[in-house]
Amino acid sequence: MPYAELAATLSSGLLVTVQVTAGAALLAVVMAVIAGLARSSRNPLVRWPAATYVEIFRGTSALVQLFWIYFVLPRFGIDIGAIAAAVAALGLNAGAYGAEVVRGAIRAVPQGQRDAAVALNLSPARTLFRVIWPQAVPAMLPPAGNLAIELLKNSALVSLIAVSELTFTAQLLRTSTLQTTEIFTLVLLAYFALALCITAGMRRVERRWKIAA
Amino acid sequence: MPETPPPIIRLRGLRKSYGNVQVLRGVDLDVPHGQTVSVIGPSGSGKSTLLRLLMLLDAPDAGELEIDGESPWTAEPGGRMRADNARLRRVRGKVGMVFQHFNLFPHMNALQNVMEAPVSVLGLKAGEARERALDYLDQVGLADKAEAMPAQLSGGQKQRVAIARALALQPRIMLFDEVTSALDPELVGGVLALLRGLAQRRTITMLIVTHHMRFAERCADRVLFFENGVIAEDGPPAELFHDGVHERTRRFVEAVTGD
Ligand SMILES: Nc1ncnc2c1ncn2[C@@H]1O[C@H](COP(=O)(O)OP(=O)(O)OP(=O)(O)O)[C@@H](O)[C@H]1O
Ligand SMILES: [Mg+2]
Repeated sequence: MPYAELAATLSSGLLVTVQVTAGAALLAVVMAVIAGLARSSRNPLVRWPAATYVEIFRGTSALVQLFWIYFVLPRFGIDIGAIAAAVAALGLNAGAYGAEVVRGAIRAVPQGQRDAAVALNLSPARTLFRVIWPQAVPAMLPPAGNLAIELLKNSALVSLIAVSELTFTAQLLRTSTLQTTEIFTLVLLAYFALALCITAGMRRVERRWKIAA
Repeated sequence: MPETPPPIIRLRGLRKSYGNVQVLRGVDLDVPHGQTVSVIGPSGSGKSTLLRLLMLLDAPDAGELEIDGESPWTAEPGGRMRADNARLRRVRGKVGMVFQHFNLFPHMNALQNVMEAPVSVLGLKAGEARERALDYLDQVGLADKAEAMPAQLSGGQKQRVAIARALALQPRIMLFDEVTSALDPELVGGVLALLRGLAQRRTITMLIVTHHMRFAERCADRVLFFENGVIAEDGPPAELFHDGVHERTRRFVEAVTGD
């Protein structure tokens, strides 16, 4: 099979990879913000569930989480299908790491900023949204970019539950054509190109959030 | 016989420790409204801690703290101090503080720094808040820097924005914690002149922690000499600095001014 044809077949897998990664990234951001803020709370009843989530998803392998959601949850009557299971597992996993990024960035805002907010009598919510958050976000973005690339690479795991993303499509194609070198070189380049897109996208976001000097 | 008004700041036996360090060991103080008080004393004697307690940034361990007749803290049976949140915020609204390192919000320009609290705390409309903020920036001589980001301002300018920001809430009490210590020498004068002008108006009670003995002497109605977490000496500057009775203050002043 010529390169162009291989590429055309693989591109359907590429699209699924992009969709799964984007969906998981969205879920990860939501989870990271919620759990990161919750872990920064002074109330232990808020902190504790978030800490449990983070420790469970950081402390076990992403592959096992994926299998658990795809194979075990249906036994409890929760069958969400392969794509949703892929998005959920990847997103929850990345969200746990992201929560630590959010928490770290919030902690890194100098105490003097909080003191100034209290001295100005700002409410705790106002302090968080107007003072702390805008200063914490720029510090979150570089590690968030790393996590996004990590997420992209992890998305190959979901080929193991037969989601027809890039890696899965490549393996099918390999068994039918035996053009192993060509196929996996293309796949390698495709992942690399996607990672470059993420890096470029994150640069833009970083510029937007940069505090004017 | 004229009634003496109650003091705007009233402290009795105020104590505060950080870990094992007893920082304040029983501070008693009455400050009448409108007075300008300089606070001097060796490093680590508890001056900043006192200001933090007055700003209600930290809770005391024991003792009474009353501002404008209100006590935001009540001792629980176990001994811990408990805050009444509504009262805490009401009392904080009467006090403003300026910090050694300015603590401006770096992502907001000068005008936004000053407008933030009038909008979100006093509920002013954006237009009114803007007008008020520009007025205070003008008072500190920075009307032309309204759009500048903190990173574009000199240390002295940053500190003046910080003063405008605190004044814009129109507090009854202003606390200044070594507000010139982080400034280059040539920028100190402008900030001190601003404080002197505020003190002369006599509408705001001011507590000024400073290492500038001449400033303390000239601008304050009263000087507190802090040592080991208590007010060791207390009196008008002329007495404290010159009467020979206040031995410890005199020795401290000699040591810091080097004569
Ligand atoms: N948050 C804190 N945690 C632990 N120790 C603290 C804390 N804040 C202050 N201290 C300690 O309390 C003591 C008094 O500190 P404070 O800042 O009130 O002194 P100060 O009189 O303002 O000194 P300086 O002139 O150096 O500013 C110091 O020994 C300091 O190390
Ligand atoms: Mg100090």
